[in-house]
Amino acid sequence: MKTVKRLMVLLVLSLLVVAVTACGGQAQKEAPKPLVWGMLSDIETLNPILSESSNETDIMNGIFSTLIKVNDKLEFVPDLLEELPTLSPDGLTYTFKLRKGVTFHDGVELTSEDVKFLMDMKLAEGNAVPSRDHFSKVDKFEIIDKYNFKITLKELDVTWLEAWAYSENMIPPKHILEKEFKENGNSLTKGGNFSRKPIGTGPYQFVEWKPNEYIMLKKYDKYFKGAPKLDTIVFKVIPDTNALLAQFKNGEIDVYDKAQPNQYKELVAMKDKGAAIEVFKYPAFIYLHADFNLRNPIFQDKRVRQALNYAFPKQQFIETVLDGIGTPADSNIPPISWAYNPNVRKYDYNPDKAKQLLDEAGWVVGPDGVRTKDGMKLAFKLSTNSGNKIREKFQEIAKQEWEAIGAKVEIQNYEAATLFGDILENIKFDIIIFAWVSGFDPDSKTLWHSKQIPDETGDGQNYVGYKNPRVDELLEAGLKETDIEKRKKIYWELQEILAEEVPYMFIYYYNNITAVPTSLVNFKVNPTQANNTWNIWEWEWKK
Amino acid sequence: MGKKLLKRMAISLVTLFIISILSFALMELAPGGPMAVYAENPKISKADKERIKARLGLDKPAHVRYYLWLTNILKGDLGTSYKTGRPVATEILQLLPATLKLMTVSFLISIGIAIPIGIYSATHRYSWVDNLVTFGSFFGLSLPVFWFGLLMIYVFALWTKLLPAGGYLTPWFNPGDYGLLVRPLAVLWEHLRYMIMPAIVLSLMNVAGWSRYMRSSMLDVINQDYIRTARAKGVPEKLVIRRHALRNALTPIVTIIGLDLPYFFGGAVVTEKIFAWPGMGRLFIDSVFARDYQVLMGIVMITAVLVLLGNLLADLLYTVLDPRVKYEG
Repeated sequence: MKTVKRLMVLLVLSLLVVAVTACGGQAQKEAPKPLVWGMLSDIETLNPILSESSNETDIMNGIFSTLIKVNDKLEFVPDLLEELPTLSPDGLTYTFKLRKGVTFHDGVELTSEDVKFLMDMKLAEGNAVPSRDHFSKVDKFEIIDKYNFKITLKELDVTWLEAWAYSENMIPPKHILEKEFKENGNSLTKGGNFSRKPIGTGPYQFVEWKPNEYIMLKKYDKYFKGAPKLDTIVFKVIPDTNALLAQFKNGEIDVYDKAQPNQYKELVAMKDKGAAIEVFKYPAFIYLHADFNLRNPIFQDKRVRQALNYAFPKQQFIETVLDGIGTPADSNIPPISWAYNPNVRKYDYNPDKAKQLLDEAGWVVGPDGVRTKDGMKLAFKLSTNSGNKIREKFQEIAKQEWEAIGAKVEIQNYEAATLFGDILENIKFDIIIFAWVSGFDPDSKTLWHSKQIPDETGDGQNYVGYKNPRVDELLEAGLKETDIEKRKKIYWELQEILAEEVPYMFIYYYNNITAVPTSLVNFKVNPTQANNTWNIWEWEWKK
Repeated sequence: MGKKLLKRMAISLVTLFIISILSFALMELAPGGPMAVYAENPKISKADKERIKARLGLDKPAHVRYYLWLTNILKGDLGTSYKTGRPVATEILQLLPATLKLMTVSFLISIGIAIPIGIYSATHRYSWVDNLVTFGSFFGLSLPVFWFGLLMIYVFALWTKLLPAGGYLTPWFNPGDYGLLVRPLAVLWEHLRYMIMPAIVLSLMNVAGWSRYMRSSMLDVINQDYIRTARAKGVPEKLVIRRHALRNALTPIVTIIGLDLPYFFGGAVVTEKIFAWPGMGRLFIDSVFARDYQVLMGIVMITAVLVLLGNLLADLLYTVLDPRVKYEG
């Protein structure tokens, strides 16, 4: 009897559960469908002045606006401006003209004062701003009236405009943030109120942020380009890539941005089986490179560096290890850039040529198979951040191939914090493998200029210690040339030199993979730092 | 007993102090540091880094920072996270409810299953059920958590669509969408459905381990003379087990569960990651990778306090379960 009773209770309970879930399904269909965007980690702040991460950019693209944008065709287009800023003949003064009637989510109009305030905040001593690079180049900021202002640079710098398109220069509301700045002893921190309750001029307004769970936005009807079409957007934190894929398959997230390379095949298979999704694969402005420490006498001879380049099967590495999800790199300028030079020296796999170069450089094979020169062995360490499978695979192949031409390679990896905080920073490497994220402007002065060697000049990212007077000249000229054709010539020459001298072994450009439902209209991938939510105001569900 | 208790508390305080020095020193000796996150960004200059360092107070020598941390913690302030700029206490408190919710449920499930299974196995030793349980326990113990979790997601979310693959609550869940009558059930189900899979995954390990302990502890007891005496006196078997054997057999289990108490707070990294559960385990691991020492110190210290408390509690529970044991510090 007892068991029968229990069974009855269980049955009734389960029926109720079914009833509830069924009702739930109906109720949700009536409300407009929220868009759910999956991301791998939680964010730290939504205050663009302090923001550093790409996830934050994805969300802030909804909340804030920038003066200009970089579109999916890599062109500048005005956003908060009436038109692109005009440049004075001396190339120093930009004149900006703001749109009229743009409002923050609290209804207050955006004016030149807000832009000036952004600069003040970026330069304020008390603010933990990641980089002051952009505004440290400004000589003066003149407000003409509510909608017009002029910015004069200290010196000509044609790369300066690009940063206005990115989240670091999203325009904050002065009337709100100035108060927080003053009340907090002239400083803004990620712990501040605005960080967790941002107000901007973007198409979506902030609703809530549940730590390690999600960030929710809802549409702002008075957005200056017209009310956006989606009702609610949720950015959901799912800290595991397998779980992200599972949730995408299950429809719990709609957009899977920056999927893992090894998930590409599965996503494509999903599409082929009839799932209503679109899978994008496109090169990004991020490249993997192996850097030779040029202070090490072994690497001072460029023939050794070239030999190591020839002895690595780059193409095969991309096809097998990366499943083809990568674009081979010959220099630090990717093929999607306007400045890309396709005619530079290329290092197709050729171990014989590598051996020949080492012979010419005077490295003689010893009895143990390792080459020596002047009592010095061709032995070095190869380091990267441990746990990164692709980089570790690169090391394995490199070790095998390089030892075959007479080198002795020791793999020594460190946890990321150590690798970047100590080994790279304090230049304790022989060859170090990591990636750079570049802007879409081809300038790379901090990487190659002889005044940018950190242990000599105290600043810069020329960790390899590369010195070449012609490269210095080109890098400086590249920042001053306003004519794009002439500028292109400068970077073409730079790429030729870099490909010839290979201070880095340029490995490959990352490809991004993003999967979206076909029912999402106007989703356009953007390989720059503007990210794929750059045109979030245009998105809508197919009717 | 009061005096002994006080003495024990004093020893605990010294232990905590030593733990704090050791953990601080370990973090200090670990290479890298909170500034390493800026390394791969070519836009951040050395001057920028120096500025950020000073701002976080990292320019001061280690012993000064430890002193500052200690004086703060004595005032009840756990410090400020390097990463988010918010008080460490806020960071922890925000994730604590979800952690406790999941942990409590999985603890209850584990105890509810492990103890009866253990008792049954012991009283029916070498029966086919006992053998099955033994096999199941080893299977459960050797199952990798992430694999089992993904399998659950595949079966219950992707395949049968019974449960959501992960999350805590549906962001747009609104009880007002449901009729008054079903509303409480809808809310209950909303809370349950996200929790079922992670709770089961977490319980599996506990059940597998604890049921073994319970079995062997029960076996020890039922072979004792006083059990035989009870049986000889004609006490029904059910009563023998429940009143005489179980109570004695539970003592070692209480110790084990007491030692597991810090897990309530610490969360479970892998399970939380796979099911996107916003718990303490993720805060801990994220803080490790970001070298957010302030948060790490906070978590380590609270965990240390809980370990000490758990031990104390287990000792005190002994005296309840076994009247012969007197608390002797």
